[in-house]
Amino acid sequence: MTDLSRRSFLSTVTGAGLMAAAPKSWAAAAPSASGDWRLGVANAPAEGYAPSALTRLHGQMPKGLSGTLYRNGPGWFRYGDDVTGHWFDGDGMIQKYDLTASGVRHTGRFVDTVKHRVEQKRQAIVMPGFGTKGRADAPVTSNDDVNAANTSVLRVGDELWALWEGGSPYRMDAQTLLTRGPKTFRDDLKGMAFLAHPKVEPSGRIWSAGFMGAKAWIWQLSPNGEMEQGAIIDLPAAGYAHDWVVSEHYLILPMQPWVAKTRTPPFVDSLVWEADQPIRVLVVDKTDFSKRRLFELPSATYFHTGDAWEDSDGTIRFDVCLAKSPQFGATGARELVKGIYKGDEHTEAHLALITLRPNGKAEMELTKASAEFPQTDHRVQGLRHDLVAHVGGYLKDRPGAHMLSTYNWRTGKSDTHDFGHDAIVEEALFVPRPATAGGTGKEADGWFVGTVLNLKARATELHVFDAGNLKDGPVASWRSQHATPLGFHGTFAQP
Amino acid sequence: MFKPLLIAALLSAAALPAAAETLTVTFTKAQPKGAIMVALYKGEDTYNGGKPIKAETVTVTGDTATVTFEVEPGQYGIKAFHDLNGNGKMDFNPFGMPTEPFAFSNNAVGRMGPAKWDDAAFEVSGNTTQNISF
Repeated sequence: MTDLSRRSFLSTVTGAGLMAAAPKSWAAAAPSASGDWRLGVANAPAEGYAPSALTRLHGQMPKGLSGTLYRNGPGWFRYGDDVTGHWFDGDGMIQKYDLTASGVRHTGRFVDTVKHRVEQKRQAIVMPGFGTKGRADAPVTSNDDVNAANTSVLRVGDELWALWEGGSPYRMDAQTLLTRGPKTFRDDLKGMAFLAHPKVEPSGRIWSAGFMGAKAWIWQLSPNGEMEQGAIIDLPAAGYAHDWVVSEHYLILPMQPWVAKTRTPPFVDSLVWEADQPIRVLVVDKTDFSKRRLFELPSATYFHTGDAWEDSDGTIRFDVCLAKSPQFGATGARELVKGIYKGDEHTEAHLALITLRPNGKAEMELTKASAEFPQTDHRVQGLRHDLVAHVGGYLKDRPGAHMLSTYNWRTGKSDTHDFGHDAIVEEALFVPRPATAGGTGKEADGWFVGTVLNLKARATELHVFDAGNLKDGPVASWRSQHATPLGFHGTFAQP
Repeated sequence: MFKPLLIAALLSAAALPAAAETLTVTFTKAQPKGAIMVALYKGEDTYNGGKPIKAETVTVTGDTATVTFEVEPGQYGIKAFHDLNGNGKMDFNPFGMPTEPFAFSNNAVGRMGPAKWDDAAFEVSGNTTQNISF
């Protein structure tokens, strides 16, 4: 056994390992009845996870389902009692799950960012971030020095881009997960912000944005990730935007009334919640950025959208997970890394459909489905869709969702599988059934593939669902050798 | 017995023009292209917004580059940037963030701006060397 795999192994199997190594700052937090959720914000092994096979729990890999699930999320939070200031500031770590007819194999590696290197060398939280003040002597010369590369991934050619939102994509080898460095699209655009939620049109064209105060930079990239065009546009407000939506003809920027007032780190402390202000939705024509329309919606906050589409009369619709207050991002996610969770119903997001009418009116239709990490069929990005998958269901005694659902906008019905109180359900991605396996190309003809942190088993699991039938549970499930820290977003690469 | 010598030294320092000292500034870890623009400031006030006492442009052909200044003894600070594309100015991206490497004396780092004088200030007394890494 190599030193690398032995250390990974030890850190996993020593049942008391996590708690024995737990910082004093965790002492006051009591584990919930449904297991110790702090497993989800514990440091991963610095050397990563050596390749290992997942153990099959039930079912078989469906015929036609193969490829790689890449997931990104914060994987390093603390050096002893020196704890990062926010869940969103943990160092990015990629989990790679290879699905074949013979099962599932996993490996994981930290993105080798400047931030990760500096902090591992000094064994201290040094850099400022979303919710971390950083040290006075933090060696910061550009946005990419504090880039945590911890939010999502985009597969471009033979590369995997680890995405943040305040700096460049970090290029990695998609097979080895070795880091190649920040992606510079053009010398004069070095270090520009690039969202963790780029949108890929059916044509393969990639749209992304970056935000700085009341300005946005729009990225238009070719399918192979090269620059086609970019431009600055003025925004109606310096509202925080973690996500946006792109329809067939429009770029849609919902600027929520959580507004940046200063430029002093940490970033989240610069944001002021203006509860009496509307969400100002800027709609920009893809072919002419000077053609803009503005809509207003009632005050609400969001992290994630699903997707947008246009009706034949020009009406634009998109799904989004809305909450009443940004308290989770402002304080809740700061407390998580300290082992503290205070459930607050105002922070729980619900699925909503936004409608932007050609006459300038905007409507917000809120469902009762508690929802986060919305996902749709990416083959029809920007086009009409009925189904949106999401996690949901929140408990008083621990963070994280325990259900995976789809909501159908045409029927108004939900289809849900409840994993129970021992499970923290992560984002699930739609994977279409390929034509070679009888796939019709229709929406929901395929699977949802996602991960779940099983607190009781102290292990991450990978579950496959028939996309049209969640309520009967996963058609096949595997359990990892590891409990990997809770992640944010992923992508599924089919062969 | 040292006192007379000390007094003599102080008197001579006060009475005569200050001797020129050689300040050698070596830049390391540079990309071998373009030029490094070096601005030397004397004292805190000029460092914080005044004009540099001297400025030099050093063509970079290897991973190190050196420039020397003849200066009076005193407190100095250096601001430098590497003009990689040779357009004679420091370039910024559309959000106003520098896109070319920059550095300060003592390898001091700034936070959301230039390094502070207290971190970048150094004493020239006798021949002095500054090694600045990009």
